[in-house]
Amino acid sequence: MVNRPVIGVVGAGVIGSQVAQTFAQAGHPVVLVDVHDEALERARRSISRDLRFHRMLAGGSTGPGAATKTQAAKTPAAKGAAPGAAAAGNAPAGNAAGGEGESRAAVLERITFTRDLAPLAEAELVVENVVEDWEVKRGVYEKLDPLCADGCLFAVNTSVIPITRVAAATGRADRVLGMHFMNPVPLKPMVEVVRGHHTSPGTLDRARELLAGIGKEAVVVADAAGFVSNRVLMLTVNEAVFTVHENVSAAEDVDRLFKGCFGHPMGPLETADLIGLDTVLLSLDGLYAEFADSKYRPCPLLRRMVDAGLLGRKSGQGFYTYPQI
Amino acid sequence: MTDTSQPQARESIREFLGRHLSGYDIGDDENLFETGYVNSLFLLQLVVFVEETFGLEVEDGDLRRENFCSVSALTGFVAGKQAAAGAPPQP
Repeated sequence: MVNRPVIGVVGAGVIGSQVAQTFAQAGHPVVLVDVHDEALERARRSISRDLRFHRMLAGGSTGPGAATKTQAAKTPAAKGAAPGAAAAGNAPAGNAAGGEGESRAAVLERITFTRDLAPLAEAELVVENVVEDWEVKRGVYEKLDPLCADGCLFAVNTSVIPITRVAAATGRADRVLGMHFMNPVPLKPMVEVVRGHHTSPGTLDRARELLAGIGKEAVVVADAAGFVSNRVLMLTVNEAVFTVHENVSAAEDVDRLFKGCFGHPMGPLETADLIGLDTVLLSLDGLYAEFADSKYRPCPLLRRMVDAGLLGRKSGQGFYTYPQI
Repeated sequence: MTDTSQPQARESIREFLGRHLSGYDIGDDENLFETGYVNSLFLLQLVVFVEETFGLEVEDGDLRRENFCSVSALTGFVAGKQAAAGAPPQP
């Protein structure tokens, strides 16, 4: 395998560890950093587990798009309950993420799990996935900027924080961009890439190249709150909640319509349960604050459900009920 | 052995899937991977269930879609593994 550049990943949550896994599967040495030992240990376990099942999840002989097509034609009868772990199913990989035929140990060996930021000095790209809190992110970039090589690109993995704001906290605004990875990262063929105000064309080219190397296509959008994916998705989810709130439809029927009529693999309320209703609310509040446009006002039912602790899949109850694992 | 245990195995598998698919009533030959329910955590639970319920070991080489893609496939896989493991003790 050719020598691939070192990739730094900061934040070993769900998405961070999946990003680390994906780059490692493609042959990159990866430095995965988190402030918590437990998070690093959890990441190691979940990466090991995902690698074990990667071939099955990626679908082996199933070509890209084939499974999507089959799914699109399907109209699963929800029967008042929703798919819980749907994310993987709607994402046929078919990508060149590597790892095929390679032992789990070999892929895991490429990942350095550490609390120390210092090894990031070797990285050509740092993907930052810490919590969606500006103060926390700013603190991270203040540490990363003097530490990382001059040519190192900073990719902010966010669905809400403006890339231009992050860039301004560094001395390398032209080398900062957004990379909005989707869950589950190893199986999703596309990344929403965000061009900050000062992001250079060279940075975008290199980012495209690095993403292509892990089997992902980049779609570049400009820097605006929610970018494209979250802005449209959250508005759709919110409106779906309104239809339930106003007794226009039952939750399962909203989802059935999206699946049966539009071929979506999951309906908007199943999706909301999967994302977490608290996260949906946080995103809507963010969009509302950023655009000062009333169309982003969160549905009162959504707020009430969050207040009641009905957060979706992770709490066992949202628009649907989930068996506790 | 397989003839008598298969209906029972099928029933256990159906029951497990019913519990983990939020009540979704999956057909015996319906492709599990096309239902939108499957992720690695679910697969891990499925493997542990198969190992513990049927007393067999699922090896990495067994982790192929054709073994796990439906109730029927799982039933066949379990029968095959049991036959392989249980053949000597059978009179």
